[in-house]
Amino acid sequence: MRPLFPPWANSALWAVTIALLVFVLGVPIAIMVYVRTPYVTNRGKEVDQPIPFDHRHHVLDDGIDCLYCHYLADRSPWAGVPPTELCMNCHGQIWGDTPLLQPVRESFFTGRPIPWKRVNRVPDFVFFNHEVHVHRGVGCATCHGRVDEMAVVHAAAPLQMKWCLECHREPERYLRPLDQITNMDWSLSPDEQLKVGRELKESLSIVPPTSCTGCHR
Amino acid sequence: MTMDDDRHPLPLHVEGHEHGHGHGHEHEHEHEHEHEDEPSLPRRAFLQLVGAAGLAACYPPRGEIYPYSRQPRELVPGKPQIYATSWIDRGYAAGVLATSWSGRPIKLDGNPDHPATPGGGSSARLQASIMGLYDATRATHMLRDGQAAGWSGFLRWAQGGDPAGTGLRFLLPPVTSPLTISLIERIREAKPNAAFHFHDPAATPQVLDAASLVFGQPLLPQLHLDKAQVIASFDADFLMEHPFSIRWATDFAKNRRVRSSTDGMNRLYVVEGDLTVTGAIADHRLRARPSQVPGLLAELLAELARSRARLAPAQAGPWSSALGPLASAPPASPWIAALAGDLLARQGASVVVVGPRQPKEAHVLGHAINSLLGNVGTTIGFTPPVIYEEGTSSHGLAPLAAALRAGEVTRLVALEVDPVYDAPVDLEFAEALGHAKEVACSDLHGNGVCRVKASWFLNGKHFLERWGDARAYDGTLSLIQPLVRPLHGGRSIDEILAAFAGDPAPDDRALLRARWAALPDPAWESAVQHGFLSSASTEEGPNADPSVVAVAVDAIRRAPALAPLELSLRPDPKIGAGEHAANEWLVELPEAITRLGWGNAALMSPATLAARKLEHGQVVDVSVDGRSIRIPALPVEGMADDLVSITLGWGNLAHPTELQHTFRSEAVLVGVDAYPLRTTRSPWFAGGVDVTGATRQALPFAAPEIERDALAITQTNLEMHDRPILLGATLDEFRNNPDFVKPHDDPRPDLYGTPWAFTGQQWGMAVDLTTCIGCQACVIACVAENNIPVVGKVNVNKGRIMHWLRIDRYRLGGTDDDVRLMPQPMMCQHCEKAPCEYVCPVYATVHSPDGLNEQVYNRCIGTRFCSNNCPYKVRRFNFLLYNDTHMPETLQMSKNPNVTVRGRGVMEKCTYCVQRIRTAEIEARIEQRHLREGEVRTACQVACPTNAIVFGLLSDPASDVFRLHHLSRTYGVLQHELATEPRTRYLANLHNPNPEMKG
Amino acid sequence: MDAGGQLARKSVEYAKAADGPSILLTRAPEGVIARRLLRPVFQGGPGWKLAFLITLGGSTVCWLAILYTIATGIGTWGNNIPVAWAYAITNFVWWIGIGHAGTFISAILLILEQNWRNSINRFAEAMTLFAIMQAGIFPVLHLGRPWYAYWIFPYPSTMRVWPNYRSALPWDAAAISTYFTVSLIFWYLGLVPDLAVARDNAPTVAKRRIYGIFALGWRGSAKAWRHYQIAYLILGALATPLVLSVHSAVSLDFAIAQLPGWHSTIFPPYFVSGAIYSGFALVLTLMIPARRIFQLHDIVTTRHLEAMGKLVLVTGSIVYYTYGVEMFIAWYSGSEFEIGLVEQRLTGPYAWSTWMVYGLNFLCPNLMWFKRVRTSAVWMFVISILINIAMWLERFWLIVTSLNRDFLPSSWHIYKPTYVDGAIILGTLFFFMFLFLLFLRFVPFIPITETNELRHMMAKEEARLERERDERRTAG
Repeated sequence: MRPLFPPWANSALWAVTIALLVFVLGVPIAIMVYVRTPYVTNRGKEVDQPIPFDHRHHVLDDGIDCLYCHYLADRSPWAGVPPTELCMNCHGQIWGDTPLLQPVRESFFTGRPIPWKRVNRVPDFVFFNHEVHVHRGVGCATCHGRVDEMAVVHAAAPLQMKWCLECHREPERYLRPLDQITNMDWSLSPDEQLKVGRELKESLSIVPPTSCTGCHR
Repeated sequence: MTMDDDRHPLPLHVEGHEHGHGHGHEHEHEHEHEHEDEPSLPRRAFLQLVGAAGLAACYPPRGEIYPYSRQPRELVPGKPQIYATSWIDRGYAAGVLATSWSGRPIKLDGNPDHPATPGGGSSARLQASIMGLYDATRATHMLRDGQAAGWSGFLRWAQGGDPAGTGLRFLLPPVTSPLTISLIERIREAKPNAAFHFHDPAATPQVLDAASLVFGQPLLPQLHLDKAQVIASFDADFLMEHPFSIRWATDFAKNRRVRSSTDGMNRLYVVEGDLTVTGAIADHRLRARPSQVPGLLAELLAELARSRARLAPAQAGPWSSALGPLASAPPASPWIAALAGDLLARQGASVVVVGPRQPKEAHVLGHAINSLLGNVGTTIGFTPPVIYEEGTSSHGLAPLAAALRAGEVTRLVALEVDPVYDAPVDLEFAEALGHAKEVACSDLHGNGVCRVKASWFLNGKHFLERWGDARAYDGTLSLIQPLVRPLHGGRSIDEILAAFAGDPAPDDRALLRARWAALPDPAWESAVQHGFLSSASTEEGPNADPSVVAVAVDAIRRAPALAPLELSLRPDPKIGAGEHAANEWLVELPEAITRLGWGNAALMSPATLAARKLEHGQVVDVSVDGRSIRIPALPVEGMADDLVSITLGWGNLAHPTELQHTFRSEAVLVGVDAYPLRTTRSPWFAGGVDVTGATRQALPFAAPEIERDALAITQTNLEMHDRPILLGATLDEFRNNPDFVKPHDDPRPDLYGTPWAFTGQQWGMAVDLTTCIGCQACVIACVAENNIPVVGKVNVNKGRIMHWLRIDRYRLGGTDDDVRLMPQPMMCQHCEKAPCEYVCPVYATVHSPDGLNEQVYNRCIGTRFCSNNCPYKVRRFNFLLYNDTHMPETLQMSKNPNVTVRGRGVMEKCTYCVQRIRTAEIEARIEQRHLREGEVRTACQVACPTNAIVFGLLSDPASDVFRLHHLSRTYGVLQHELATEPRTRYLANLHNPNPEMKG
Repeated sequence: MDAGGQLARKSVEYAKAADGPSILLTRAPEGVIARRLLRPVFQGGPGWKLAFLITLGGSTVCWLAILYTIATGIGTWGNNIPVAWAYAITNFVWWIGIGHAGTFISAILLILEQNWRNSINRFAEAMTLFAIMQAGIFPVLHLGRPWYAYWIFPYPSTMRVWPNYRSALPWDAAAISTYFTVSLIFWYLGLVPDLAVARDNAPTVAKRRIYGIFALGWRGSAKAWRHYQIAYLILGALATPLVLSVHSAVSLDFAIAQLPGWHSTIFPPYFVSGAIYSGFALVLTLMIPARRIFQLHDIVTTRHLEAMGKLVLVTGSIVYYTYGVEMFIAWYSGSEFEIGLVEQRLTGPYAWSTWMVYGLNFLCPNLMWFKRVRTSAVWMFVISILINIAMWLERFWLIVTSLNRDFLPSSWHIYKPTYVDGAIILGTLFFFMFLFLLFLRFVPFIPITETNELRHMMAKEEARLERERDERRTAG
């Protein structure tokens, strides 16, 4: 009687077994890797705005301070984007007629806000307070990256909880003097940073909340 | 669009001259409104819903940011603002501070400077009134014969009709507003034949009548309970059911705040038939049917007459002639005798309060006794009435009904009143209304009047949407300013009246400013900012006329006794005479004594119930001469026998609810309408009532809790079963043994140490069970602050009410005759050794370094193990999606943006208002300083009119909470049993019985 | 009617006649036994099809109820505060308990070299497997947010939060998954030689191929057998602690709480014995009808009934001993809360369940003292069903009566189940039967090789006795 299975069946069996094992172990690992990639966090993904606003020009060329436009950043839980009238402070005088700025003028005269696209977003159960970070030695660039070098703004941080905790547990690794907050290219060697950071932590008695209700209420 | 600087309200903390342009602009157009917040708060709340439901936990940046195109100067997005305004209940004003987020009021509290809400205390009703603004069932359109119509059309209609106003009648709620009064007078001038009627279902004209009899002029009694050492209430629930209750509760508590064993304490006697909030905490309580109360007052007066030698001569003198004959009365019962003795011992420092529902004679005797005891001018004063034309013929419906039937009424304008629902049955008002040629009515909801007949229906304005003024019970002139542009348009009473006064374009702000044109702008603006103009009207200590006493006593003695059963109708402690029936927060709130939510019941003493072989929760027919209603019966221990008590205001067709069953839902009335039992002649009490069982409930098995399912009762067991939960003692016992709670407070020996090293600032709470009156203002304050959802009757029945803070009631001492049903606020105790924490598999409930028991909604997977292991059962679970992600936008707007709106399947509980703590900490951090004592106050603490709840830093020995935690009578519930080391501690209840009296 | 059938009928008559039942009565040659035990596999009957359809329908109801629950929330159940756990956890504990008989038989009895286990072990193991499947549904389904159930497992998350190992639940999850894996492997390993037999006897090539694949090329060489038996023993040794650990872990879901009625150190032994007790009950409930339908009285003999009856007696006694201890401790503790619990269990709204649990769990085991009961299939069948009911009720009673009236009388509240609750518990019963029918239809549910082995041993034994008798005769 001819055999039920061809000779390669044995190797096939082994192959299948190994494949199964790899699958069972591999899939969870793959997922854990995936959720850390920009595909999920959108880190570095450029967001096109209704008006092609170029931070490089305004910050580097014109030397406008972050807080001039984002003046809520140190006054409110929400950093926010500037009201149209603020754009018009300058653009009422210069480039008053370029078609590029037509939406701005329109918004100003109709009172309809400009629908800016959101770049950085945390889930709604996270109560992030922008004000306190700016007042306690967290520089703009620390979370937002070198916005001054971005033609189109993109998120520089994954904004995942573990990323928040890195700083909340060891603030000294990121703190900077209060007069350097809006300085875009302020950087130190790791050792200096630690030294400066520890001093600041001491002098400002900085104890970032690491208990849940610090951010979840 | 052009902006005039005064269109918008004035924030309390902003200088008059620099109000931002925000508000006027902000709500100019509905569709713009949502674009102007940053980010639109309704949307944020909405996303939080989804967020906690776990759906929005994905990261991609989405949504758009809408900045203001013009930034209002004083408005910082993301920071709240506080405005002062006034809340109106039955015509009387109370001061309110409203917290507003980017033009969205989300929380109300008492205005600390306002006489009606001293220290910022409030009531459940005041707290809940914000829900009336966002109520999704509000009327949103103006209707002309059922068709959508415009304001201009109505203006034309109003200016039409007979120029002299012949056949034109107005029906208004009680009015204290000078503005409204001025408008009424303008109309009377312009249209001499127009007539005005005022209707208040809970009106008690006899109070003024009695005053006119005794003092020769109509006067309102003003209590000063902070000066009273002995308080005798005769059928008066003055701590709860009175326009000035908040103030009175605050004053009352001042003399019950015992800290050391040397402190004194006032003594409260209550004579009543129902068991009310005031009666439940009385030091001595006498059960008596309402009809027996006047007799008992006469007895008391006679007793005083007999011992008039002990009266201060000043009082005794003029009275001697009047008192002589009284002394011959038969000797008083020991209870009354003891009371009389106590009153005599405290002349000038005692007060007798007579319930407004009591007949004129009772009030006469009340005044007489207070005058005799020299209390007038000290513990009780008198002020002129503030309700317009109160006590005159224009009040009451009978004349109007007659006129309607006589066909004299061509145009009836009924504003924010619903006589079709709440008029006495004998008037058959609905039928009478048919005789009117045209009817215009306005209300926040489509009410009975417009259901029966309305040529015009105008949707009204919530008090947070309008300008206006009103007087408090003590005459304080209070101002109403809007916090938000009307959500659905709408017109206030003033605007509508102005239309009839010939105003071409009535606008309530302009009207108000014109009424007070005398005030210069700065004075006006500061008045608006602070919420009120004048202080209380000056009090008079008038002399009583002794001669009327004999007449009154005589009338009382000759009054025919009411045949049992006796019926007692009273305004509902939660929804009043029906004016708050649409407010689901109040409807779901368990009633203070019966713990009954979502309806009312026929309340009887257990004996009365048993005598008729009726069961708990059984549906019965209650009938008074031919008229009857069908309603579930409910026994209440401590009620007078042979008495049936039903609260008014329920079962209103205008406010049905959806009853959710497993697979379907049906629209039903909430509670049972008791007005069919009410007549003009006997509005409150009636005799010869018949109660018969209508149906028997089929029960799966004999479980008391199951029988109660027909009634949504949240606490089915009022006994403590000898467990050390609500501890109490008499004042004397406490003085002899100040440490009487210690045996229950010392934890048993324990193998484990404290799991946390508590360093830095530590939070704690102390609740004084002596001053807590169980008014439940804190419960609703918590609901408003923490976005706590309404779950509906079926879910309450199932035991799923979501209140983080509940007021438990336990029998504490007392006898069957003299029940003491004490309240105990119960919320998360924030145990240092929390049983809930170690059982959570995912660390969704953990301990913070400053001693909070944290609940992390977004980490919770809903095993509910924490609730099983919580000995206090204060944790609440979202068994269903109670915060529907598709809820009406107005409801989304009502949410507090600082608190996550919880979705389905997560556990929640009291957080000590952690959002307030963290916000304050952030401010302190930014200003590089430490938190100040009293900087963080929880919602319940702020709302409490008696300051029974104290929250603060335990780590600061100077703080109140620290002091209270270290009082000798402070204990932790179950601390001895379980050693949970709760951070919420209770000051044991003290009461102050009269040594002369036992029981 | 083939030879196998006639043989079977004969052997049944023999079995009925014989006194002092043996653990194996057939003396048919190996091939015949094999063919007999394979018949249900290769020839399904109309009865099977009908039962299959019924259970399929029942399972569908179950799945619909589960879908409805997941879509709407567990508010569709009767659960509330204070009774936050009820039917779901009851079902979970009941099913997981059922499973224990299987592991007990396959592991512990194997180690103890109880030959009689051979003819019923696969049956019991299959039951274990399917019971765990049912049980596994509930810990996830009862969650408020089942889609986050994976948070209970330790893995490096982007939240940098780990499970709380002080809670019993992560251990619970671990225990159940381990238990399922081990049971599955154990069951399959035991199945391999029989699958080979099925392969060799399969009527069609297709079937031969399929069974061939699962038989993993088993040839039954002496070497293979030696390895096989070593592996089987090692697995048995591994599984033995599971019998004790799994339900101990489950019992800790309650014992670590401070709730009167749960907070008790006796729970682990109490739960384990209760589990084995109810497990054997279900084995009996399933085995007795199967034995009848497939005419196996000569392979599953009264000896088996008796043996299981005795085990029921032992484990059952431990259970009702625990009831006594609970009461004693309540009194001895002097805590008003513990005493209050006992009072309300005896007189409260759920007193009926208390009395049913106490009554049945005392009566049923103690009937096993009587040989007439132990040896009567009918008696055993009825009793086994009563035990199943009693043990389900016991878990319900344990959970609900402790929760519905705890420390603060103010929060006392009754619990009432809903339709959905009912649909799910009945549904899982159907789903269980559904899986079991598949098992009966597609694999030999009596281990062929082990039966043959047994027969072989006994034949040798009899041959020896025969020889001795002859020698005596010739000598005398």
